[in-house]
Amino acid sequence: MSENLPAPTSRTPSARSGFASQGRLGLIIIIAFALGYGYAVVRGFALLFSNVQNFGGDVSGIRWFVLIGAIAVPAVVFGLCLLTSWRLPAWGKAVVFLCGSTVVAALTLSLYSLVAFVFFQG
Amino acid sequence: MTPDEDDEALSWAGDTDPTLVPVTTSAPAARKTAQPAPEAPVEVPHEPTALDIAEDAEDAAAEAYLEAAERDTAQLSSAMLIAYGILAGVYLLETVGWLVHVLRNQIAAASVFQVTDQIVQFLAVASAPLWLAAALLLTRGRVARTRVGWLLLGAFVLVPWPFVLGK
Repeated sequence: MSENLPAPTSRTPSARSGFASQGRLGLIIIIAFALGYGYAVVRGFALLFSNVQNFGGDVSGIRWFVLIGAIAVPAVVFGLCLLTSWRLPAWGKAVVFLCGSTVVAALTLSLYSLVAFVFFQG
Repeated sequence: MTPDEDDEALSWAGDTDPTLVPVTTSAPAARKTAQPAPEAPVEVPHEPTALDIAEDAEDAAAEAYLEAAERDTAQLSSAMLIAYGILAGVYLLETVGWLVHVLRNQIAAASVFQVTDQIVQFLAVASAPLWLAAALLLTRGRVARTRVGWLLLGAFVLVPWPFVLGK
């Protein structure tokens, strides 16, 4: 009986949207790198808390910028990598996220050196 | 002799057969006039068939492939070659800068956090060459301006500030 058939839907497997369109391997790559980027965010928070604890109300201006940057950089770079690699195949995603993680490492070390420069020489 | 016998002598049997009637020139004209006048050609709307659509798609794919192949094999201009050379030199200098910083600030792997710090240092050294490789790999077939743009962005982002600040 045609009345009992489910209504036809235009949602086909190739027309999936969101994270479902990334495929299993793509999702695994995204989640694996998200853990690494998350660790960098946690290290940024640790740097912020330790500096606030040590310097108290003396943290201001450029110092806040550097400390918040240490938290924001991994999150922002992860978001940019996600956008850039959205339509790429799994190997392209891996290359983009790996490249992004090295960028986070370089920027984080730069920010740490700026922290040391600002706090102890500035 | 009777008149009937004279008429019979001047005619042949079968003369009245209609199939033997000679075709006169007026017969085709009569047929032509009997036919309706030829009408102007009617334009029938041409609906693309599945074969037409498949052929068009195949042509478009072949053209795109050829365009990409032409872009890939296009010879670089002198300006682009110089730009690539300068950018490659900048990336090399940045790599050396990060390497010098890491060698000056070596971390003993005594704890988990120090191991992760070592990994961060290693990633920082690898950042410049990896960005260079990724930019060249992922912008294949793009215009040279896009490639140079990504390479310029990496050159600005990956400046080894610890080395620049004397650390």
